[in-house]
Amino acid sequence: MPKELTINGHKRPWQEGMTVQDALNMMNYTFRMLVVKINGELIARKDYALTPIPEGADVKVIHLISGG
Amino acid sequence: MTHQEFFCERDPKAFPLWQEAIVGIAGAGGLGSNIAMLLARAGVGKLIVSDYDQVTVSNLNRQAFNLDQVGLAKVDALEQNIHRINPYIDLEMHNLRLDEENIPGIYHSVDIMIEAFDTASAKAMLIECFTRHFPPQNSSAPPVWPVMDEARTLESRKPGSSSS
Repeated sequence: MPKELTINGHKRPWQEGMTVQDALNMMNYTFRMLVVKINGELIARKDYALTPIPEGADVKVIHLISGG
Repeated sequence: MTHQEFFCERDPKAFPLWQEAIVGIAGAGGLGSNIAMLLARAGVGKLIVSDYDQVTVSNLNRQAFNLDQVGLAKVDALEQNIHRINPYIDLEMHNLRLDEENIPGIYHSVDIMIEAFDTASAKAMLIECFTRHFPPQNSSAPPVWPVMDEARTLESRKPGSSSS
């Protein structure tokens, strides 16, 4: 069975060692203002390229919109 | 009018919960000023509100201020308006710009934190600062609203029932 992760509710293939930045590139999430959580835990922007995503993780990539 | 007289029509089960609540609001503009007014009407016990800005005429199409308050600090104008509706609410107003340094000290006591900023960068700063100082894995950590996840994660519960 192919290994997966979930990003914003979408199931995607998971590879060993893939980082948050890899996941953003895969999803083409280029928006500048993002908040990323892996299994509920916030990942700082400076750590996107350094933080591996565990297999099966629930990743939320929240796009922050101005206004209010 | 006494406190009891003012609140005499409130629901006896729900109202004590409202009175115990401390709600933090970051920003007193289009969202924050209106949220503050509605929570004051609802009977929340304490509001902690911060904004560094002054009332301008262009605010009046949507923000909870009046024409004769143009030029006042927003938190001062908001305090006036809230007290005209509910003189018994505990208000803690901060006329300053929020940042990573002052947010934990100002909002450490809140049960719920409401992000009502207008720029995406300030929203990111608040989320990161709050998550760092009050980790969500900690069961007593106040949630930051609006909920940033999908709408389906919102849930409503009757007071007294356990969370799902």
